[in-house]
Amino acid sequence: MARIKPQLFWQGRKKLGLNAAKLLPVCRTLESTANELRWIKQHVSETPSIIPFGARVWKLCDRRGKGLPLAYVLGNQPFGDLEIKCQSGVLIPRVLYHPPLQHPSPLSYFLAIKPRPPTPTTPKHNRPLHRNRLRPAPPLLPTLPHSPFQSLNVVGVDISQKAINLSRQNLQHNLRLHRFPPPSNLHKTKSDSGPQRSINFLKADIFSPSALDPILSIPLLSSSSSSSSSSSTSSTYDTGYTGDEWDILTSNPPYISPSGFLVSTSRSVRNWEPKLALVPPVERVDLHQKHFYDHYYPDNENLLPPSKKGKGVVEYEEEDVFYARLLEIARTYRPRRVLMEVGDMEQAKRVVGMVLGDTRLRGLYFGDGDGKEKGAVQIWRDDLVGFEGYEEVLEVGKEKIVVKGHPEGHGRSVYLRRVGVVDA
Amino acid sequence: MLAAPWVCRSCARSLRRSGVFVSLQLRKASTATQTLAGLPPVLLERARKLAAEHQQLTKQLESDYEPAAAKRAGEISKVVAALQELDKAKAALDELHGLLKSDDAELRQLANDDLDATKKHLETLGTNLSATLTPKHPFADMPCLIELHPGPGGTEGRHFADTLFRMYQKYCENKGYTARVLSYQEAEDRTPGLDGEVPISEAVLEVTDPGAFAAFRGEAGMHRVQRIPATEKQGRTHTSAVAVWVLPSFPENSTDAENDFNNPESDFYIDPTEVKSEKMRASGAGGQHVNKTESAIRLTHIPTGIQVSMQDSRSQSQNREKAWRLLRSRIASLRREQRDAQAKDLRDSVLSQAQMSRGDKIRTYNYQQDRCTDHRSGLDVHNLPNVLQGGEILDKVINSVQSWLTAMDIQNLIAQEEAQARAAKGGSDKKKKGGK
Repeated sequence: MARIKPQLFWQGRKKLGLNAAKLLPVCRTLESTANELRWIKQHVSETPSIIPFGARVWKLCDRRGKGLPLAYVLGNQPFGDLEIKCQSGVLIPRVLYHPPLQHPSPLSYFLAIKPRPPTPTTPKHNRPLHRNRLRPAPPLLPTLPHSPFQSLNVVGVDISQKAINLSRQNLQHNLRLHRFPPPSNLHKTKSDSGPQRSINFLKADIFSPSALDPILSIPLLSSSSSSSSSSSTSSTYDTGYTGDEWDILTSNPPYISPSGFLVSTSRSVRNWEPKLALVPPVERVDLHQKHFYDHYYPDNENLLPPSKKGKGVVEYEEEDVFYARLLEIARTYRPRRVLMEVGDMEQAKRVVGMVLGDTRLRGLYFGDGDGKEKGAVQIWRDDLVGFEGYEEVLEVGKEKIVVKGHPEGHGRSVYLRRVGVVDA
Repeated sequence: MLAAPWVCRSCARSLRRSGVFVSLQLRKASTATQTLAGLPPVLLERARKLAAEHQQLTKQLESDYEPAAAKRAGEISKVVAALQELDKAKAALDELHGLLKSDDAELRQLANDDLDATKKHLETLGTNLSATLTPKHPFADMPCLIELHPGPGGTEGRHFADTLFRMYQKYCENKGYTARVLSYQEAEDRTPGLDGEVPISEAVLEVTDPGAFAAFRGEAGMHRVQRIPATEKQGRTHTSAVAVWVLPSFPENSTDAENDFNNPESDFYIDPTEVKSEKMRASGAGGQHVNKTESAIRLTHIPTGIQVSMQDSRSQSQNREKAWRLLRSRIASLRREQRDAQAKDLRDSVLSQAQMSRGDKIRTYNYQQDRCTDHRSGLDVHNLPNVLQGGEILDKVINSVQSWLTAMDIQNLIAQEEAQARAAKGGSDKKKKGGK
């Protein structure tokens, strides 16, 4: 980090006041100092308190000056249309997360999260949408904006009680602000008209085999009576899952390797944000590694190029352990769509390799690669907005994978669409 | 030629008698021309042409219906109606003139009484006709953005920009327009000015009412201020300037196809691939690795080089939305200007009067003399505090500019007609030299 010139402190003090000197070591430039100071003042003036204005500003600047992220200092972070509360110990939502929400009108492009339109041929129309966020994740669960999500049942899963509590607070908070349409399970009045929705949060460790049982036992509010064989809890891989279909499985799992955490993360992330949400715990890696090899790469030698470790040894990094588990869940429950955030393009390739390496997943999501019955296995970059037409083709193993988004963006997520499912 | 700026009338007369040539510029109270109802002949000619066309069209439509022709006929029917009424009034006037020459004293008296009313009526009809003939500004029905940029010259201009900003805010309040602040960027230098002015580096006010663009379009230009700044120690008067841009704004929910920014035909359309958006890119890791508090966004439209940056809000999506809106407006206005410039080329062969551009000073606010002058309409008003409070005096100034703009529009239209007529003649008669 370059040294800040003393004259910058003088200038800051002269132009912005004493508080600037506190913020400058963290903000580095006068411009961003001025911005943060303005936001802090704005926040203080918007929240009433008996403590004098100046004292509060001073205190917040002091905390920010110690390196605490601004979202923790102010206790919230704007995210799309929503205002997400933040508290120490729970990951702060990043704007780069969820490319869908960056779009000015999320409806037009992101079909991916649209519930299936009612089809006249099947009586099972208006099927509920399960949206599962699994394991330590920022309390973002109820972040889906209005219209396309009118009729879905959302289940959020996290291992941290703090995150679950904060998610509930966030739901209430945004309902109060009228930024989020109220779900039906919070209405005590039985309004039969209008779409049915529910939002539930669940504390569970997705690695434990019984973790997902409670999700299945959550009663669905939707009137899809035809799915009578509901919770048969036959959650083994071999027998197909016959309960309600999930529309989308989405997750922002921890994906930073322990070594990467020390090297590539920024200081405020390292010092202040929960490591649990960023780095997969090592004991899981050990436990799952064997399982992983057994399950995902029985016939993978011809798919992935031989790495430097020797022929037939697949590339697998310890930070990928969550994807292994998520894909295992996808294998069992066969969600229509899967959207997982990843760290970079390399990791995205590895995850795609996992999907293609498993015959069952490959059959489910990739199909035979062409023809009418085509699924989708895609990598999305940071910037999808405005770059709808941009597509690249990337070779993973022998297969060609579509990469969408701005050509300079990071690989940000892996998107799977089941064969036979059509994006509206 | 006399060096004296003004010579009294009797002196001038005696000078003229003595053979000295004096070019006297006598100011006349009324500038109304002698032609029919104040209407220039070209405009009248155009109206007649349109009437002929209308007649032909109706005849054609009687025999077989054609949608395009019907639409055209509908468009010009207003002009034709106005013209017919004018003709009727003119006939009435002629009759009155005839009566004035009659021998009957009583009849003459009656005619005299009627004459004034008829003349006035004729004049309003004339303005009506020219108004129907004047093209409506394509963005007239839109909301607008008022952008303030202090001119070069340091803190004083920035202070005054703040005053102007508040003036427009209050004016909107008084007139019942809904105005909201899109961007308000304080300059880094915080010296306070007169009456608690804060130096600003840029401010954008959005007036969301439809038709706001037409109301504020005359405000675009350089606004000059002459006063003793708060920072001045020796009591000298400074002159500085603030640029005001008035841009049409894209209405938030509009069904109008022409103004839909997704429609490539629209002025507001921007190809997203032509816009470079600067923020964190592939340099280094992203996602969970970092958490940037910076939410600033900078958009660059590559073909025109127009740059918009927005960092007001903590929410990046809000910043982005605002930035896109601003970019769309600027580009739409640029496209419109380019089209205007093309039309101007045609006109310029006739009209040498300088078109108003951003560079010219349009208004002066003089604090010492308590005066506000608009250089286009030539209106001079006092009670500057009322102007700066956005009161009725400012309304008067803005109205005067409105009527000046309408007059200019009509004049330009006439010039265009003339140029077209000349082009149609095949350029047989050359342009007269040194006309104006």
